[in-house]
Amino acid sequence: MSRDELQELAALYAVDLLEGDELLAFESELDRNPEAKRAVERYAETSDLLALTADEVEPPADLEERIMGMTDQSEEPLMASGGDADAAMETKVVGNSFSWIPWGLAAAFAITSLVLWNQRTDISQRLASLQAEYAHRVDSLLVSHLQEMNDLEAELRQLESDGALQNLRIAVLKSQLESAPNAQAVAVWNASQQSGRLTVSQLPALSSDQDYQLWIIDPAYESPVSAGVFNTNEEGTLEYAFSGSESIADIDAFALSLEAKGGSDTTPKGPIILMGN
Amino acid sequence: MNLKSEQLSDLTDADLLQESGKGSRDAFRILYRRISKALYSAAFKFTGNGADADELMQETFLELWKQAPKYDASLAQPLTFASRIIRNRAIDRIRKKTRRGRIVEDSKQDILELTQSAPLAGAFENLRASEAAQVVRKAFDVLTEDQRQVLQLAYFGGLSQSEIADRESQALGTVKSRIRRGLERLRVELEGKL
Repeated sequence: MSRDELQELAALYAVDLLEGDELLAFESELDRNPEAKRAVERYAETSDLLALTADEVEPPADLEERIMGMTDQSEEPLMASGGDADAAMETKVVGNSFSWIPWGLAAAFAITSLVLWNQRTDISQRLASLQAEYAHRVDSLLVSHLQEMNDLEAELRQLESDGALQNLRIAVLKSQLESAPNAQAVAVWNASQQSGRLTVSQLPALSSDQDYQLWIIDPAYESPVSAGVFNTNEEGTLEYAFSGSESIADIDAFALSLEAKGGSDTTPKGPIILMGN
Repeated sequence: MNLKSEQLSDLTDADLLQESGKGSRDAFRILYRRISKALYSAAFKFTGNGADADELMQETFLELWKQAPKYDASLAQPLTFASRIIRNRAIDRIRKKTRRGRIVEDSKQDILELTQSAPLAGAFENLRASEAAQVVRKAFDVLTEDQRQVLQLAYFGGLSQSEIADRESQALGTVKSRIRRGLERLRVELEGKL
């Protein structure tokens, strides 16, 4: 299961939207994968708060007394034990009159146990098969990712040997948000052309009055240099061509902040979402 | 030792539920007055009518009263705790009505387990229920309309993924993505505010 898939399933699990095989497979993942458990906890924290998004409605004035009245009735330990005693007495009387009933119950119990045992065996087999399938899929993904990385490294070495990377600065910007740990970006800056390209993925979606703003931290300037504002699509991905609002000589780091629509003129005013060098 | 009413009024919600667990009805009454509006609003949203909302509230508070002796304040604030009870009971009702063939874990036993793992335990610690609800509603408004819609259908409607996709005329993948993005966005908006 990829990290992305895991996060999505965790979100759906938190709002009780997983069913059938998907639910069984994810619960099996939860049992063995602490990351899945943490993801569910994080999403569940937030989904719990959805109860408070309902429009306000005043409860009826008499509801308080009705509820308090119910708590009065619920705490009657003597009544509860009396009830049990009555039930026990009733069983005894019935037992004397209809002696076949315990045998019938025992038979029903035996049949139910057998059915449940068979169901359990079926479910265990299905789980084992699902686990095997998932292990196979993970292995395939790992092999394909490894191949992809090897190809990229070879390409990078070729570019280095050609001298094509002399003017390029490549930075990976990592998430600063606990709530969006998979958000990330790669910035490629061409110093000779004073321009760059940013590729972002899995950024949280913005409301209509917000923008993301990219900043270049150049030690030559007191404040970060703005490299423009942008928004992402619903999937939180975007490829964005940028340049600095000032000439850039050296780069300590790139940062991405969340700003009001149009961005900030001078320094980041909103929270830093991604950062890296 | 029984605390007097004026002493109880100074207690936090968590302290009140703990006092309720020791049998203090006065503490439970004060807690009811603090959290009932937020919970009734949710109950009304779940059921869509006053009679069912009243019934849901009665079941929820009775459950809260019964669970109070086991309540651990380090795990969840009473409003979170009660919100989960009300949701589980409401979804049980909705699914029974719609005869959806899904096994829904019984709420009663899982309430403690599910809230145990949540670091949200601290949420609402510093805010009264009405203030917390206001903060959450404001944060929720920041989400896109599509995200708000699918989250509310999932949370309050008890619909399945495919039912939501049908109702919204959207692909299943889009619904899944909106649920996840919506929850992530809401979390970002609420960070440091509760």
